[in-house]
Amino acid sequence: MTNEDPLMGDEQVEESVAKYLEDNAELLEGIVPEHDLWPAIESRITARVIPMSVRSARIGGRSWGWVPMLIAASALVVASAAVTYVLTARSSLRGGGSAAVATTQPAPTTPAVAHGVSPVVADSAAPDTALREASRLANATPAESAPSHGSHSGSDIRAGSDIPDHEPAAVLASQQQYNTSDAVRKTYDSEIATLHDALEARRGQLNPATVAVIEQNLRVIDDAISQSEAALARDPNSALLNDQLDRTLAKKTGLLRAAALLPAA
Amino acid sequence: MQTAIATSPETMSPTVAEPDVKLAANGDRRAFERLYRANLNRVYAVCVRMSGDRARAEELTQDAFVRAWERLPQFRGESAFSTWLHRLTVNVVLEAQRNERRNRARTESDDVLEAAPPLAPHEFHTENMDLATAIAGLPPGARTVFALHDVEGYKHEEIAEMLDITSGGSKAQLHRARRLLREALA
Repeated sequence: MTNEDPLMGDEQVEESVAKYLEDNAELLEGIVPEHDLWPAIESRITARVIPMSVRSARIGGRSWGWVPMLIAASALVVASAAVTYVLTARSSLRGGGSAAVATTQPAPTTPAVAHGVSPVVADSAAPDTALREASRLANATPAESAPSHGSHSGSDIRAGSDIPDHEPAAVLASQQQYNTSDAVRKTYDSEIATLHDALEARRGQLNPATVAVIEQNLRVIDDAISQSEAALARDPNSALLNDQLDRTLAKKTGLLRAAALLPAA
Repeated sequence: MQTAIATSPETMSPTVAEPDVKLAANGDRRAFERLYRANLNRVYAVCVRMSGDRARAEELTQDAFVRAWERLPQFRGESAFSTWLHRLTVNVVLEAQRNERRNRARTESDDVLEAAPPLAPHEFHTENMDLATAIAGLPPGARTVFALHDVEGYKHEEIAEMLDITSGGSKAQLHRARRLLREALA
């Protein structure tokens, strides 16, 4: 197909193709769809569109039908907070001992928190600040992710803790990694359960076919989670596997969140 | 050569009574269904030739008619409805192709329309290949330009504007398409 015939001029090509097109015009005209497309088109053009003003009025009127949506929205807020926590926890984990924890989250059981490290992230009354700080921590290098104010450094944390000084550094790191991963997983599990509940509450409003697809995808994700966990049981210190599990859990949370907020069918 | 086949907008004669267009523009779905029935094959054929995929063409055909329904109130009757619908369909397909390219986030060279590899030579050459299959086997960029120029009857300048390429690029793609087609149909 890619060979170019040097003897074939463009005019000859044009004439050849033109003749073929003319001789086979009926082929081009005879292309018809295999299905009647009208039902699908009709369903699309008849889909009711609710004007924004009506939507606003309904929200203002506390329409009972919005309750599930509000539950889902609440779940979204909680899930977003969980993501902030995960990011900061991951930053802490990679920092090898320094810690920065979002105070908007349930207190995780990382050693740094348990032993009185000053939290870095702003309180919940200043969400923009918290978001910026979380973003900074997520993008920060381990050194940058250390507390940015106060007198606590990574070594300060260790000095201020009740972990025996003679504990080898590798053991401390491993212990912290275990605790942090455990806390992250608990947070994920909590958010997933919340989002599951929100999705279940709205199941009746959603397109069954869409729900079926979502559930199929969730099964695939759950299978991936199981595989990662099995692999981690054999190689618990694998950064790759930990990261993979983290990503898969985040994917599941994201899918559930999106599903819980789907518009009603 | 201007080998515009019967579906060219210039050669299409209106096949639907204008009252149906007006009724549909005012929200009459039954009138719009009649417009759909009268124009379906042409619209679908355009989608097949430009996309090279019949299943995808069905989706694009749906999109085109939904877009037509939405835009009908803006149709002023300055051209035949079939011509307007043809142009709208071409735009829907091109827009879809642009979105697909964007989604693939592929690095584009000067051949801005290359979004997917062409069929392999052994897939492209068959004994009884019909023209539609041969067109479908063209590389996407060449196929689009070929369909627009040789089949739909657009000029290079118009194609260049629609595809955001140069007129020379359109000519080069057309030349390439014709050469590949001739080889495939030899």
